[in-house]
Amino acid sequence: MAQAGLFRLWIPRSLGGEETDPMTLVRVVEEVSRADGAAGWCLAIGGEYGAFGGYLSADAAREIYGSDPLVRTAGALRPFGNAVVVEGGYRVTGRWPLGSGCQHSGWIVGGCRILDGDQPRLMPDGTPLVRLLFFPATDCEILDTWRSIGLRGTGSHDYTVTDVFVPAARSLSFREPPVEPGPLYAMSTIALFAPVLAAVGLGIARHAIDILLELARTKIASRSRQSLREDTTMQASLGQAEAVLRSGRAFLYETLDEAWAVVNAAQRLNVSQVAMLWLASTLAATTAKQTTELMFNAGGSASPYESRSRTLYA
Amino acid sequence: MKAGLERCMRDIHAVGEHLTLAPPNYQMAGQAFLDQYMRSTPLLFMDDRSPSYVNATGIEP
Repeated sequence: MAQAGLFRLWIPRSLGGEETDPMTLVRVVEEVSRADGAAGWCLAIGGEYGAFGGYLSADAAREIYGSDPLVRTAGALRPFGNAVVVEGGYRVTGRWPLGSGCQHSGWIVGGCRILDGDQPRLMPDGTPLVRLLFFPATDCEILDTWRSIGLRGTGSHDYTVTDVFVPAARSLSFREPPVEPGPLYAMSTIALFAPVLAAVGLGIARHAIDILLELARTKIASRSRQSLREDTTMQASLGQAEAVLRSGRAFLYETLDEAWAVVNAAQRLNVSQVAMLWLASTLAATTAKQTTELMFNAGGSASPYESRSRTLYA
Repeated sequence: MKAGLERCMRDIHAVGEHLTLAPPNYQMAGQAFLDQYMRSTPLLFMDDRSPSYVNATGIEP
């Protein structure tokens, strides 16, 4: 995927990236996830984080995103690190969970509370100031903690940094205006990430339909002794799955198209438009899950009970 | 193919666990459409580049 440039889709053109529209990355992630959900998830994270190149100062952006054509970034946004202000930057200690793709990335990010001494620096509204800091992967210790039964191949391990110095320029805040002028970076960043993650679900669900169609060609249902393709319940499930999945997918792309038109008209998304991105992403993930469950159940004894219960009660 | 459907099930449930795609987002969207204060949704609160967003939530710039 790196060789094909897929992690560069949202990196600014000024840094040698593609700076595509949001829909392009969503479509690519969807297609990769149709082949392999874990690979799609890693691409979703690494592809999204290319957008950070549009928010960093020019030198830091060039250092991280402009020097290695195969660059991949990973890490967690939630502020589980403490960054103490020192001359020229921060000294950082923290441990973050869910570092999807951290094992194949050269740079790892971590959300941090900014501290003056041992006191959190506060914003005008009294909440702690949070920034996203960038660490070379060599400064991080990856802990072998990822024990999920789903998306196992993402390597979403915990990782730590201990008293690491990070130059001030190697950090960003989601409250600051982007450095790059392109419309991609004018989108609301975290809301922009949700559709890409939802695309992983869409791809997995499409793969489940692919599998059931293949099963229907060959499988004989044990109870009815008839071909699975002749089973009326399976036929109904297949029709429902196609409708459900396409509905969620269509809403997602429609919403992205609308948001993209807003930022291309040099306007900012208002709160309802941001919420609509979240809503469409959540619905896409929900419909993807419904679709996959329909196909799993329609697969009959091709989907053993033991595995079903293990998954459903995980 | 057996393994394929099982893996799809495991993977799709893991996807749905992510905060950005979790069912509470439906309520968050409802709050937004009602123009309610949204400080209780941390990720949206972090995602704060827009002046219109600041005004809608009542947070001082």
